[in-house]
Formats: sequence, structure tokens, C-alpha cells
Amino acid sequence: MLDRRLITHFDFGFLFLVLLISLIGEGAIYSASHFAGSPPSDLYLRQLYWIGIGLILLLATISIDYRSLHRYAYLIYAVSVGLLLVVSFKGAIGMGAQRWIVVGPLTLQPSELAKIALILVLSRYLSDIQERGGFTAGHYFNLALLIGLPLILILRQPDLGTSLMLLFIAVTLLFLAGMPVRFFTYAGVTVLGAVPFLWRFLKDYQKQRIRVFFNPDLDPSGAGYHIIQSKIAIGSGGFLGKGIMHGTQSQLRFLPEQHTDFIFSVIAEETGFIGTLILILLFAYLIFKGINIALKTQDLFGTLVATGITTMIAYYILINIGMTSGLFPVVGVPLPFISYGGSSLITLFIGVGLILNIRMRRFHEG
Amino acid sequence: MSIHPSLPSLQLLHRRTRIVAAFLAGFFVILVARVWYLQILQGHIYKERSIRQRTRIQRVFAPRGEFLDREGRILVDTRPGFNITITREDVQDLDQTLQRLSRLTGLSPEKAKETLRRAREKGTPAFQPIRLLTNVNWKTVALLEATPMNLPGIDISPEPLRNFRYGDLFAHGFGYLGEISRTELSQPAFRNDRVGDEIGKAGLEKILQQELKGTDGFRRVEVNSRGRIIDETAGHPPVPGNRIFLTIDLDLQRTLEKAFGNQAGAGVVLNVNNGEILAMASRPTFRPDLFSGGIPRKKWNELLHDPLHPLTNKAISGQYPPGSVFKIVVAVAALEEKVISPDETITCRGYIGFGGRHYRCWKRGGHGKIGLTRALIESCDVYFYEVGERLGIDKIAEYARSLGLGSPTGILLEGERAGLIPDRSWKQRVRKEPWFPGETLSASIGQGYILVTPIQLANLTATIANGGTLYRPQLVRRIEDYEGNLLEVRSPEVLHDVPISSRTLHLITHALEGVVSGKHGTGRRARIEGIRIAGKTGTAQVVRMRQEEERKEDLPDRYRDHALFVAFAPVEKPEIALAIIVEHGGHGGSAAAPIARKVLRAYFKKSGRIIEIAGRSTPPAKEKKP
Repeated sequence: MLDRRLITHFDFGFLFLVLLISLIGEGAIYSASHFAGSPPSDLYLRQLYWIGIGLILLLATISIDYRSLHRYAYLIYAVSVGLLLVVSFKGAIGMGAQRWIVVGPLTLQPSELAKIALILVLSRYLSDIQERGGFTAGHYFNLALLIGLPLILILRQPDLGTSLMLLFIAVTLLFLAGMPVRFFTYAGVTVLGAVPFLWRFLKDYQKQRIRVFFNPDLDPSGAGYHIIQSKIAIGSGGFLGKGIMHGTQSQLRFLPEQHTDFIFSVIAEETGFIGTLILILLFAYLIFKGINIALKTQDLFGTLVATGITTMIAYYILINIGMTSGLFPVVGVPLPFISYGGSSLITLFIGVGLILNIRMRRFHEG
Repeated sequence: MSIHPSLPSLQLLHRRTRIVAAFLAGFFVILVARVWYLQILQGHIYKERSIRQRTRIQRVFAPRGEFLDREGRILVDTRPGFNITITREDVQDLDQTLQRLSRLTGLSPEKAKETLRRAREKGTPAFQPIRLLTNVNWKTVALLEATPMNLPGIDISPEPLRNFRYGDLFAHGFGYLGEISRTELSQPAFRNDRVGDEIGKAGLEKILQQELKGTDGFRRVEVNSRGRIIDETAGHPPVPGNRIFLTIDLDLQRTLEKAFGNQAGAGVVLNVNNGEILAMASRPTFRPDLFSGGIPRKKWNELLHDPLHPLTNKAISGQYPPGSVFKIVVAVAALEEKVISPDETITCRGYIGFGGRHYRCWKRGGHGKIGLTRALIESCDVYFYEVGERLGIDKIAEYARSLGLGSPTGILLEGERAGLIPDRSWKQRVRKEPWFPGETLSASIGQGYILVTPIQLANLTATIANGGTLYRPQLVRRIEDYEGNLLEVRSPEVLHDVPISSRTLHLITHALEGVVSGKHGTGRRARIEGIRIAGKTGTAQVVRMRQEEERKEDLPDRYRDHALFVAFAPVEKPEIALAIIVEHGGHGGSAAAPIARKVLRAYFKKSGRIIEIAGRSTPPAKEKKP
């Protein structure tokens, strides 16, 4: 069954890179979850399980020819939106942000799956448009519907970080698929014009986060605390860092959410500029390899999927590091393969599986 | 379905993918630049902030030096106490924290906020703990320690507290502690002290502040984001204050204070051979530990406005007419100036006429023909009127001053008064009047303008006892550091030698012994079997009234005369001298002499020279007037 050429074209380097970064993440979680004066935590072990589950799903993803995903793209999209509706419905009964579905021992976060589903459905739809010779007015409406549905559902949860990610991914795919540049100019102007209007739709804490971003000292013990502490952690790492397990800001719990969204600060504090540079370079290399795979792919759908997933990973990285280093406002976005958390890890491994899938079948005409 | 790339659109897609890639690459460059900026260019700033954020310098209070009695028994030391502090930087929700604290300790949130407001006004940094409660009890400490809810920013900080082991014993000598004032803080002597520190505010606590306070230590600790201490990185232990060995004898001090009972007054007991104060009391007294941590206003007002002046150290600040005790001075002067011979007698008819007035003797019927010895023993006023007149006021004043009256002794305590020894020039200078000869008569029996302090009387007595050496009364014997290394020995300080012939001293001593042991002696209530005691009673007029008015016993207490008694013993080789004043006590013989007796008894019992015989007491004096 398994074609030998598939093995020949399997990109072991890419997988190795992903596993290497995941192991760095393991180390960082181990360090970040061991506080001075507290009993050890088993978070790093749980993360290891998630990596294992991720690898299984990655293999499963590889085993299906990505071209069959082209066929099932709408179905996957429909299931994903359906799950988001379930969450939305449950959320309406429950309280606060409801992002998870509990199925037996598993906790699923449908918004994670929605990212993959959106990339697949847009790649399918946009490649179809290209096949037929370009955009028409009706296409724009359909695209707005395809993008808008999951976006609004996730925004309602509320999950600003994931919504923004979806928006960035969608815009990138539209751009890649050849949407005229002037469209983005108009859209950009429209969005800017709509900012005061949109502002009213943000939750109070979201508004506060954005305000505090521009002036962290507005609330040094509240919303600004994250940014200030994160910058202290990164900055105090200096050139060589304070040593693994010796980050004072993280060990003494000054850093919030340090094993999830602010894990980069822990690495930066403990390994210094050398460590952060190596990590950023590894990430950059990963993105470069992803883009390279996309460029070598000879069909529109495959290129769009590969680029879509690669840019998704890139946006994760840029937003997360940008946020922890004080370049962007704080939105809850994990650092890919590093931050603790099963859902995002699974999404990423499935994404990597898709890229590998595309890579190994690029010369394979089925 | 089949995917057949239409080549132009794939080229467009690949071209745009490269554009996206370039955009991403640009962003990666920005990220590296950002991290470079934070870690390399600004690394030192953030490093400093990180260190400052997690390290705290904690002060470790030095235990205050101890006070010990002459035998090394601890009188005042320190015991562990606990303060509750708040560190503003660590508090997350001030209102909630203060609410919870209030539930646990009863401290009202408003009061706590007021304290915080004051601290802010003073510019206290947010990371410095501020005292909210001082000297909290064990129950509160346990409650706070055991409370399941975390109170970030609230800490229990140990601080040694002054422990006056014997309550109010020797309170006027020790004085008390209180919070350092703004003005004190600005003085160079207190440059190492901080707002809220307790320093000596009165008595020896104040005078020996620098000896007692020691040097505070510090701990450099690492704290986590909740202010919990994780590690101690460095530090320096505190150096306790020095140990002060006093001249006081705990047993005598207790005896003296107890002997006063509810009576007001003062007493001083001296070692005649070096001026050491063996006991010193002022009654009524106060509890010095009430002042620590701020005395309640109500309590303070009570003490301040008490008509019996519990806050005044009457032993050094109380000024009283010496009454008949002053006859000792006149007798010395008369013998030395030879205005009288020991054998010469004067006839006492109960009064003497002078300047058209009658000056009375206390004994209405008179003493008849009376010589010096009997005149002292029976305290004949007429005899001393005559002798005083012969001496003249200036000579009397000269001898009085020579014997230490009329000027501060220079004891190591604040607030000592000089008393007053009047003479012609004093009267001219202060009263702008000439000295009237009749005033000399009053002065001769210790009335009139003359005022003395109990310590001066004790010192006078000791000087007679030791053959004429006037010592400065001494309170501190030696000072050791907390490890017991000797730092300083305070040797007896001779103020001056009083030129009195041994003959005079012998005569006077003999007479004073008669006061206590003689059949008609006025001080017989001080008598102790087997011990030769010399003494002199005195009565100090509180209200000037015509001498014809006799029935002073019917007067309200506050108009009754002060009772005085001075004594030294043993006569053959004097060791101890004392002066007792009982305010409004009536007669020296009945009110003051029994107190002296108890002290002397305790002294000689301790040295094994008398053996207690149960139920035995000296016969009561029949005559009431000294």
C-alpha cells in the first residue's frame, strides 16, 4: 500500500526540527513549573503525553492523501462550525468564556480545529476560483460567509487571540490566492475607519489590555503587570541568561502564566540572548522550510494549504514573542510547540502532518 | 476530481508566497532586534529591577541592653514581641486585606488606612514594611499564622520588647521607652534610628540610650511575588545593647518600696563609703511597660493629673523643708565655728522671745537646761534658735552647702532639683529685701525658705557617717557588653571633703544614736535590737499656721505635715545611710522611722548581723513631736 517514493520524499529534517523545538518546550515547561519552595509539578509529563498523541495524529494525517482532504474540505469545515455552535450553545447556558467540549476524558477546543478547517476550506474554495479564472462579486460574498461564521463564533466565546489568528490566516490566504492588492487597501482603510465602532464590541478587559499596552504603568499591578514582569524577565536574562532553572522572575512566580503564554520569557530569562536567538533562528528555519515545501508544490490547493499552515505557525510565533517582549498587546496566543497545552499542540502536529503530507506527495500524481 | 495547475495562477501564488515569506522574515528580524534591545542594550536596567523586586533588606532588631542589680540579678531585659506590618508593594487588594485583618485582630480598617496615609506622606517606600500593630499577643499571632487565607503584604515581624521584670519596681529610675519624635530623629545621636523606633524617653532608659540600644542587624532575603521569604542570602546579626549593672540592691529596693504601702513620698538608701545608691524610691509610682507601643491617652492623662504626681521622681525632684533634720547642719556649724561648747547648756522655757515675737519650742513646757546632745535627741527648738542666732544665716548656709544641700548632687538622672539654701545675698537678689533676723530662727530648725531633696538629705547623712566625704550619688557600677566583657567601671566620685573635726563628728553621731536608742529619742521606732543606729526625725510644715494651733491630726491629709527621717548604721563603722520622706505623714518618728527600720533590718538581716525573732518589735514612741 505505502508507496516507497513516499518514504523517499518524507522530510525527516522538518519533523526533526519540530521535535527538537518541542523538546526545548519540554525543558522550558519543566523549569517554569518548578517554583522555588513548592513541590514539583507534573506539567512537563502531561506535555510529553500530548506530544505523543500529537505524533500519532501526525502519522494519521500523513497516511491520508491530502488530495482527499480537498474533497472533504467542506465537510470538515461544517463539522468544525458545528462544534463551535455546540460550544456557543453550551456557553450560553454556562458562564463566562466557554471554549471547550468535554468528551469523556478528552477536552476539545473546537476553535483550534477551526483553524485547520478554515485553511482547508479556503484553500479548496480559492483554488477552485483560480481554476475557473478568477474572482467575481459572488465569490466575495461566499468568502465573507466562510470566514465570518467561525470568526464570529470564536469572538463570542470570547477568544480575541484565536479570532485574530483566523483573520490573519484568512487574509494571508486571500492574498496568496491572487486577490487584487487594492482590495486589501480598501479593506485596511475600512477596518481603520471601523475601529471606534468595533471598540464598543470589545469586552472591558480587552479594552483595558489594549489601553495598558500603550501605557503599562496605567495598571502596574493588574493588566500592566504581565507586560512589565515579562519585560523584566526577558531583559534581566542578559546575554547568557541566569541558567536553566535559575530564572528568578519565574522561579519566584513574578511571571504570570509562565508555562503557557509567557513561556518565552522564561526561556529568555534563563538562557539569555544566546538562547532566544537560537530559538528564534530555529523557528525561522522551520518557517523557511515550510515556505520552501509550499513553493515546491505544484498544485494550487497543496501550496495554499502548506503556506496557510506555515504562516499560521509563523503568526503564532510572531504574536507570542511580540506580546511577551512588549511589541504587541497581550492576547492569549501560545508559542508553538513550546507552550504547555494539548489543544494547540494537536492542531500544530496535524498542521505539520499536512505539510509533510504535501511534501511527500508533491511528485506523486494519484 | 483532479487538480491540474493552471500555470499562470500557480506562478502568481508562488510569487505571492515569496512576498509573504519576505514579510515574515522581516518580522523575525524585528523580533531579534527587540530581544537584542531588551537583553543586551537594556539588560542592566532590567537586571537591577529584577534584583530589587525580589530582594528585601529586613531589619533585625537588636535586643536592648539589660539592667541588673548590684548582685547581677536581672531587673529589666527584653522578651520576644510581635508586630504586625504591612508592605504596600505586596498588597493586592487593600480593602479586602484590611477587612480580613480586622476580623482577625480587631484593628479597624480606617485606622490602618490612616497609618498608611501618614507613611505615604512621610515618603516611606512601598517596599518598606509599616507597623500596623505593635506587641500583639500570642493568640493573634497564632490566628494569623494559622489562617487559611493568605494575606499578601501582611507580615508578623518579631521585635524584642522591654520587659520590666518587677513591674513598677524602681520605675522612676528606669524611666520608660516611647516612640522617637520628629525632633529627636533630626538629631545626630539618633541618625541610625527610624520612624516608629522606640527609644528611652525618661530615666536611665533615656540617659543610657546609646549604651542600651545596641546595633540592629539585617537580613537580605529573597521573596517571591507574594512576598513570602524563599531564601536568605546574606545578613548580619544584631549586636545587643550593653548590660548595665546598677548599684541598686533588689532586696533593699523591694523592701523600701513595699514599706511605703499606700503612702506617698520618697526614700534614698546610700552606701556611705562610696555614694552608691542601694535603693531609691518615689511613691506613688507607675508601670513603665505601659508606655511601650504608645500609652493610651486616657491613662496618660490620669498619670499626668494625679495630685500625688506618680510621674515625678520625688527622690531627686521633690523639694521639702527639712524640718528638724536640718538641726544636724546647725549643730555641725555651731561646733565647728565654736559658737557653742558641747557642755554649754541653754535654758528652754518652751519659747524664745525675739524681735517682739515668741518663737516656740515644740514642747510647750520647755526642756529646761539643755545641752547639745540632749537638744538633738529631743529635738529642742529653743536650743537651736539660740545657736542659729549666734551663727547667723550666712554661716548656716555655708555649712549647709558644704554638706551638699542647695545644689544638685549630679546624679545620673534628669530632673534633679537644687533645693534652696537661703542667705542674705540670696534674699536681696531674689526677694529684693534684707534678711530679717527672725528668719534665721526659722532656718535654724529647717523651716522658712529652706528646701532640700531626699537625695541631698541621704547624702548629708552619709557624709556625717563617713567622716566628711561628700560623694556624688552613684547609680551605675559597671557596664559590660552583651558577651560579658567589661567596658567600664564607674568608680566613686568625691564631690569634696567637708572639713569637720572628728570631735564634732563624734559628738553629733553620739547624739544621733541617742535619737534612736535614747529613752526620750524621737526616732525610737527605727530601733533594731543589736544594731547601733544614728538617726534624726523631722517634720516639714506643709501649711504655715500659727504655732498655737496644735491639733494638726484633725486636718485633712493634704494639709498634714511631711514626715522625715534620716539615719545611718552601724554607728561604730557606718555602711548605710538613708533618708525617708512620707508626704503628709505627720511626724517623722511615727511615719518615716518605721520605713527606715524595715530597710535597715533587711540590710542587716541580709548580711547576717541580725537574726529574725518572730513577733519581736521595738516599743512604740510615746512622744509624737520630733
